[in-house]
Amino acid sequence: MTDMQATLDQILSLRRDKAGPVIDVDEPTVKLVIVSLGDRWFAFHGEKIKEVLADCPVYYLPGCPSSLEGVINVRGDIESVIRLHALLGLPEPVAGLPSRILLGQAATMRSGIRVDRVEEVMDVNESAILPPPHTISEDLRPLVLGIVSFRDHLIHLLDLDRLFEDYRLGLR
Amino acid sequence: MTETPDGLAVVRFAAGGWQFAVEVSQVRAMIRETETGESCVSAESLIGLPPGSPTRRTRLVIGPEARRVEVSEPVELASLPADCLFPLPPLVAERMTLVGIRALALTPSGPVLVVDFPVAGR
Repeated sequence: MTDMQATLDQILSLRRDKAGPVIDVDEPTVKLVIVSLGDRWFAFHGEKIKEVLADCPVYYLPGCPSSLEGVINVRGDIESVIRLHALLGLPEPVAGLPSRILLGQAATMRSGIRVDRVEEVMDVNESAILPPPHTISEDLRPLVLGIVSFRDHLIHLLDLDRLFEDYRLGLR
Repeated sequence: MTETPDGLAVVRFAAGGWQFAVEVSQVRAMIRETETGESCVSAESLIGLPPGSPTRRTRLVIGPEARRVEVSEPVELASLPADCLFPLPPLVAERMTLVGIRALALTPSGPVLVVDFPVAGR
């Protein structure tokens, strides 16, 4: 044995460090539906999203703000469709690009929500949802429940109850 | 609402380029000839739409006050099937600026808004 040789304890300690932190499999998780609007990513709690709808015809109605796209027929029920871009103050997507409608239920209301894409539906540990940073824009702040990091994106977890209620009251 | 076995008996009409309907029970008469000496209000102004285009117009005589409401043609008696009639979704009901809209019918020719003229005229 030379001075360069380590003890068994040192070797095992290094091995443990290399393995990374132990993940507590019993930690509570939440399901998130992750969507994108242009290059911005957002999420809703999975329990608030009842369905991701295939492309369906939207009936435009007079006297509605541009953020209220119209209504859709979902197996015999009529639901409104709101444009998430407009509600969040983001630029509208280029016309003709594919998009999706989420069917959301919150604040005793149900409505379709137009997004560009549904990126993922996944379970995350509750501890992975961090408080919203102070740098978040004033307009978004009341709507954001937290921040999650996923695929190199910082995802804003949105409060759908607040979003619907604000919209109903004409605040957005 | 006045129910028929197949649905709701209505007078369908156009206003501001959109399709509307009013329950038959609210309409006392339809006057296609040009009428003089009676004050008349346009459906667009009651409902809250921009002024109508100068197409051929018909007057509906509405309610016990026999109020004249001018609408655009085509004007026709019709029945809206019950299974195509819906209440306005909550967000539409709250955010729509039109007045007196009670229901929405989705028909093969597009959406038809069912209007309550006594409410719209208040």
